[in-house]
Amino acid sequence: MNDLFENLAICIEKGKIDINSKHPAELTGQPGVVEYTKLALEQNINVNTILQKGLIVGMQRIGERFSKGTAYIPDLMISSKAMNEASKLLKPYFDRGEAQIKGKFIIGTVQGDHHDIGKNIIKMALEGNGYQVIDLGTNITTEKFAQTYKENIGTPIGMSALLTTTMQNMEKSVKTLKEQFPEIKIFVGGAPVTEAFSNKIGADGYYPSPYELINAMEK
Amino acid sequence: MDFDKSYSFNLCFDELNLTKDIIAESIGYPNGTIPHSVIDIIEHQILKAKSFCSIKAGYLVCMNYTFSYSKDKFTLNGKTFNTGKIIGSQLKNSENVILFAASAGNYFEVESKKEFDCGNSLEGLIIDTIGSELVEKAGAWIEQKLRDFFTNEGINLTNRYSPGYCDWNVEEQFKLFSFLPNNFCEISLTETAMMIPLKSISGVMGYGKNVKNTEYPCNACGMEYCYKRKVTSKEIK
Repeated sequence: MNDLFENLAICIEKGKIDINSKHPAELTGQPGVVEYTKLALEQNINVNTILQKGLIVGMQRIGERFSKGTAYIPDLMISSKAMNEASKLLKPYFDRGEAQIKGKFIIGTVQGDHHDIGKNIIKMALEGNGYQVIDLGTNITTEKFAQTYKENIGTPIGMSALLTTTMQNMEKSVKTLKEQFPEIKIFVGGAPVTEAFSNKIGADGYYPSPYELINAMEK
Repeated sequence: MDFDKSYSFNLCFDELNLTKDIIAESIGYPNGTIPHSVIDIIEHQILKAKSFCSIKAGYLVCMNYTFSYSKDKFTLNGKTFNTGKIIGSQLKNSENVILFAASAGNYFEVESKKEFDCGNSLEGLIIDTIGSELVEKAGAWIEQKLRDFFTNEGINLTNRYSPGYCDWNVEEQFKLFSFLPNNFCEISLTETAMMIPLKSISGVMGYGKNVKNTEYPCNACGMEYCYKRKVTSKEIK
């Protein structure tokens, strides 16, 4: 059984989706995460065990390699895609409450800003690590963030801004949301955003890479 | 070339020399480490972009517009651009400025979003990166065209500097575009000064006989994760 978990972890780390996947070259023709997940389910292995001993181990390994500079954003995306394929097979178990998501996360680009590549990368990394992401999209008003938070009390919010002009809207949104919901956790990001800016506007954190955010959430 | 008159061009993808190696490096892979499957995606997306994208670039060489500069701003026909000290120092000795803009069209934002929405995040990232690199190449194309012309006249040019970088507030883009015709290179500005299409650039270059073209002063700028950064954050600290 340990071999099965190790194979799951390897497939996630290397982004091997199924037997027909061309990536990675060294696993060509071998089963992927889809086949191994199906096998684990056929063997009636508990879904949480599949996650904890196989799939999440693989995501942790790629995350560690990313932190050490030996894996890159595309590698995270490839691993996350493999994780998402496994998650599709596990979805019925989540729906029945037999497995739990790690948590939820609300994400959006602030009002006046239509850039979404950074937000999408964070979303992909969070989903790959077992979080349910409520993606509000771009050009999101403070009211929309507030309304979504009200429907998901206790869920952290991630805000993105790519322009110095829309950083001002980020500041206004953070201030208003903190006034309305003093317990709310808001993380901020985007190319012009810095830790100093995050501190200045009263946000709860600024993390330049998806894995620094995930590590912070899991503390 | 007529001065004080704007020019715009439709550029051909192939003349911009965008290669798969540039995209590979831009998405993070050091030389030679990129997996073959990712190269395949890059090649496929470059081919698609070549068929569908629309690249435009243009400039306005200001000659008879009144121009003055000080250490953190310049004034053009009575409009003051508060560039900040970093760009101000680079424009030293400029006799006047060239305003430029370029766009790779909206193909990249539309297609990238489609791929992300389908769960193909790597494809989405690669399409977005091709758009970013392409519009920078269009900016470099303008710069080279102008450099070739001015060098023959014994005149030097600064680097390209854009609102939103080097501490120059992006809001100043409104002033910059006020000197250019409406819909120049099919670019429009939102009320937050964001250019539409997203894969667009704009900026300024100084020119003059005594202008110096120096390296981008990244070590003077606080934008730690700027994609144009040429030094590491460690070097700044």
